[in-house]
Amino acid sequence: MPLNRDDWYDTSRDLEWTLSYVDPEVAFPTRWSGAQGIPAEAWQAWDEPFRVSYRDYVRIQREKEAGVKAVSNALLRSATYEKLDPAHVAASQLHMGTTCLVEHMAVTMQSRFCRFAPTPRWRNLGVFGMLDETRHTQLDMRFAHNLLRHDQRFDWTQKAFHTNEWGVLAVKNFFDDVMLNADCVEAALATSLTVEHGFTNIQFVALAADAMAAGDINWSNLLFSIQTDEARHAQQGFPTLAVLMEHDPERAQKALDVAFWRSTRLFQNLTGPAMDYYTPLDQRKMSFKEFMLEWIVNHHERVLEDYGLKKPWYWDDFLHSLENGHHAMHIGTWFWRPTLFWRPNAGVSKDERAWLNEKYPTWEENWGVLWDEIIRNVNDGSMEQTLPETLPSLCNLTQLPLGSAASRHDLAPHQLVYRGRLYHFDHAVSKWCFEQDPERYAGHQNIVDRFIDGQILPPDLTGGLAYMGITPEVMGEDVYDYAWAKDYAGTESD
Amino acid sequence: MAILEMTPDAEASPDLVGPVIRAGNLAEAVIEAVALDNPGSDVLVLDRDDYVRVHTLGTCRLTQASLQACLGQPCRLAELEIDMPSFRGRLKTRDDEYLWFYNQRGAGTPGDQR
Repeated sequence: MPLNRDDWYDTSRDLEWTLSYVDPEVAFPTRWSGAQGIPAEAWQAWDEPFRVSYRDYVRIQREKEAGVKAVSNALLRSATYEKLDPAHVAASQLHMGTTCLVEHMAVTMQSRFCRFAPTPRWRNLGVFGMLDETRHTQLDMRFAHNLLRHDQRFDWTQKAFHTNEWGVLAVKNFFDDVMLNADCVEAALATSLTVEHGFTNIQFVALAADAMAAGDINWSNLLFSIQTDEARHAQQGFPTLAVLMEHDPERAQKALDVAFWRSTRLFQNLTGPAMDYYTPLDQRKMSFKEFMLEWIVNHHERVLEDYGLKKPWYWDDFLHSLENGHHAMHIGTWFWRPTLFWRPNAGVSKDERAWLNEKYPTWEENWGVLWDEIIRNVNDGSMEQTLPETLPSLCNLTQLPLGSAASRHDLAPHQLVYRGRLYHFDHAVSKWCFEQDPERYAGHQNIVDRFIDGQILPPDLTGGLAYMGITPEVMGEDVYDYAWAKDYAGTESD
Repeated sequence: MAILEMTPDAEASPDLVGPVIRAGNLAEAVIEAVALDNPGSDVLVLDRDDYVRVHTLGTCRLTQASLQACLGQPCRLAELEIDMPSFRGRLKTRDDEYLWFYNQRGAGTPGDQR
């Protein structure tokens, strides 16, 4: 009688050598495993929630691939891309440029699990995670390659991470830290749990739902399929968390609190504007804040509390930032639009503004007045007043603009001096993150630091754009050519 | 017990567990199978057009036998992954049964949006 998977699974996942010729610390250095302070036998309790065998993996992934490719091929023939709203297309370009190579970085992270994780069970699952992330990179490349004939901005799917574009540097800085620079335990907490169990749902399920409503079946289908892999391999984080909660709960809480804030800030940039401004009004499912409450607060945080973790100490700040941070990132990215490789939609026509005020009761007071100034300048023909002449000051932790974590009423300097250098932060919580491990962050120069250091020449916006690799063919411009401002012509918004 | 549409208040309930499935035949079958496998619980369903939340309170059991019966064709639970981008709660997977659960009912205040 053939055996079921459950009959042999425990034997196969515990396959391991007992090291006799090599010191275990040499074979599995704690620098990479992250197992310092945790007794070796503790890892015997590591029990993956989502079981997977190689035979099942290949069979199921093959079916996923066949499904994605069939949809993609059919849609290429039906010329649906040409019918998409250009503002929505900008969301997919933003996603591809800032995400594809993150998937590729995740291959390296998963391969570290394969090699250095402190239990063979985890090393075994790392193999599947590595194959998953390879698949995601290739899916993104294939999707973008097919669309190059329509718009060369899709070239940034591969190119972006080889440039110094400021937003890409912010993304790269975070994932360099939590994927490439992290030991296995920390990567499991920051990436598997915080990013893959939490925040990628916002991008790959919630935004995918918006994309489907916008008619972008191909992209939506791709995002959705990727997240089915993420949902499985993200589960590597939970048994790791369980071991840590038993032996070093303070380390777990701190690592998750840092990763949660950094992820919040990053996704306010990646997903917030796409949902609340780029997705056409009649195709929006919910607001960014509503999706965050569903997926991050009710879905993600609750499981962490089941393991005995507390909500991050800055929870009130997080909720306040949820009302404001992505609106700040949006007006900032729109204003600095020449520095983008996609065409942003202002998204503040009268109807869109009514929606924003309904979803965010403080929007008018916090953001509407700033847009009024832009609208006046656009309608007066004073376009130079709507464009930047230099670069914004950036946070030395998140690499995002100072002042962009909350509203205009919350502006305050958050600074510290470390080893003789003055550091600036976009929020008190970002400063706290830096203080937890200053050596980790201290050496990095953000774009403005490089500007002051003389690395960007000529030292003006033109030099900055050249440094960032922005060329005229991809340079960001208002996607509707300011048509939305005509809503207010003659009457003005006030 | 009944299959009910999930209200926004219920969505914020701290003890909901269960899968999130791509809308379609499989999601319909999962809803019916979860109802069969959890006879003492209401099944709360939230349809967001593209994805469907299928949740119960505290624990949510799904067996291969029920899923096959409701789908009307042979199916292995492992195949659920193809259309399951997420799930709520902890998970335990065995060949013939998936179980979503929390160890601590009533822990945390995820609905706390202050």
